[in-house]
Amino acid sequence: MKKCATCTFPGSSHHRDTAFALQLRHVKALWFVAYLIPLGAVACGGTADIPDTPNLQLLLQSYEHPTAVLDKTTVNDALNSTPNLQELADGMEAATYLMGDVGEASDTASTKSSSRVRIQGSVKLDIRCPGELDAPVYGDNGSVSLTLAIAESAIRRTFGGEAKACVIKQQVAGRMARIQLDGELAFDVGRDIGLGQGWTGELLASLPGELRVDEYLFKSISGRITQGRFQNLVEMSDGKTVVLELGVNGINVRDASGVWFCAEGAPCAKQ
Amino acid sequence: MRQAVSLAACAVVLGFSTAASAQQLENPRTDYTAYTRPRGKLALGLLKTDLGVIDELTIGTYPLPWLLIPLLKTTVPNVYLKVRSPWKGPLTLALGGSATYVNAKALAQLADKDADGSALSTTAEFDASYRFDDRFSLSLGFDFATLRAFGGAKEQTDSVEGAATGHTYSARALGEWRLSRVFALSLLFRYLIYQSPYEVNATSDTPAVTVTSDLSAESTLQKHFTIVPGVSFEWERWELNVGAGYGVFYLPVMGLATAKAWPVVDLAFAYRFDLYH
Repeated sequence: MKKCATCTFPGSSHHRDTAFALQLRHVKALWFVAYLIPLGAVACGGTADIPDTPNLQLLLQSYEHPTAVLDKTTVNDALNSTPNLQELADGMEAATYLMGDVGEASDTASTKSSSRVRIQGSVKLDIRCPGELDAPVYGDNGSVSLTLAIAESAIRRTFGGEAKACVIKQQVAGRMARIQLDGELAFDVGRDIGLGQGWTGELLASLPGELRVDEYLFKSISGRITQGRFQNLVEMSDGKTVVLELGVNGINVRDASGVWFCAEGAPCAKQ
Repeated sequence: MRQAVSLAACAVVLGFSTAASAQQLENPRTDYTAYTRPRGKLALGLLKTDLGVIDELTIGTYPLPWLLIPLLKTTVPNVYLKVRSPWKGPLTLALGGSATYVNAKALAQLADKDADGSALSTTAEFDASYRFDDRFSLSLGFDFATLRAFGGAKEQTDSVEGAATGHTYSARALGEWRLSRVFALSLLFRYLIYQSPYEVNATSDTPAVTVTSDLSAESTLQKHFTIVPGVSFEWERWELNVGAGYGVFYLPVMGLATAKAWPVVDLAFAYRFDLYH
């Protein structure tokens, strides 16, 4: 037996010669298989896409900086432009029902993640609305779909979606009312929600569609809940804006120059 | 006294070096190199067992996952193969690949008793080894590893299902300096080129809401380097490779890398015999 002195093929050179052609054919086939392994796997993995989110900055600025300057006459016009402010507030309050599911999505996405892990992508919520009965009936009372954008391990502060005849019950003036949402939705919750964290209670909502609170129908409206108080942006006949805010004892009307307080049954007074 | 010990050590090392033999030519190290097990040789080890089907083809498995029955109530089947270039000469090239399947029962034991799913890990490697002389060889390699997991869990009316994928590219260099027929020093250097974000697609369903997520997760503190100095022993029947170092730790069998740097131990031992005779 002749040993190969400089290679790694110990054994008979005779044996190698006779078997070589057959082996080489096997080798070529195996090389091909081995080559396919990485090719088949390259398509997986990667960074998840972050979906676009609605831009509510302009609307937020309008709430922060109303443009109209009111006097004793026009402040009443502003007040009367939203005659059912309490119902609107209650209807908007119902939208916070959705925030529970946003919080749940935050918990789900945060599972087993740590500060050393960067998470991004999208979370889509298809919420089946419970209806107006005491016992929820899912599937027959419309739905709301929301798409949350996750970036840098946080849910982005703005997100949007669509409501399809979503029926929710909500307490209005001490009784349960039927709330129905229809059309596009856009929300801004004030700041990004870190995964595993909850909603802070801040909410700016834009509802270009319809909001029905019992017999009251609101179309293309917006509302803001900040520090536990409901605000509504009102566009005056001249195109300028004021913000109505439901207070404990009345309504605050905020214009470019300050705040008017309007108690029920009394004239509005500049603060 | 110290001088005498140093001189003795030098003499031993020099003696080993000059007596370096063709041991590595007959039973070359197959980890991290392009070399394959010679035809008919079976290396039986708890961590790794392989067989030279022909001189150019080695097929093997990692026995430990097969033996995890007490822990997982099932086995984790895995196989790998390596094919090297057929030509003679100092340069050897090789391609290798492996596949590991973790079935639902094993995943349920590892993750969640109510979970149902499976995982498939595949790796591929390209190796180039160059033998400068009887004593010294240098091997360069490129590794690719991927993991795909599919799973689900159902609890009364709620359910969760999803899939996760991720892959890793890394390069390595292994220098081996054979000081005697039995003993060699080695230095392994690995560099993690890229670890993909782990992409997770999951759907959870309750009567009230369906949550569909398409998320990717990646470490913000990914380390890249690993260095492992070691020693190799090649006896007539036994072989033992031991290394201890520091850096990114590559998951055994699956080849995926940790984000953090850890103390790293590299261990392989096997009993070798000729299966065909």
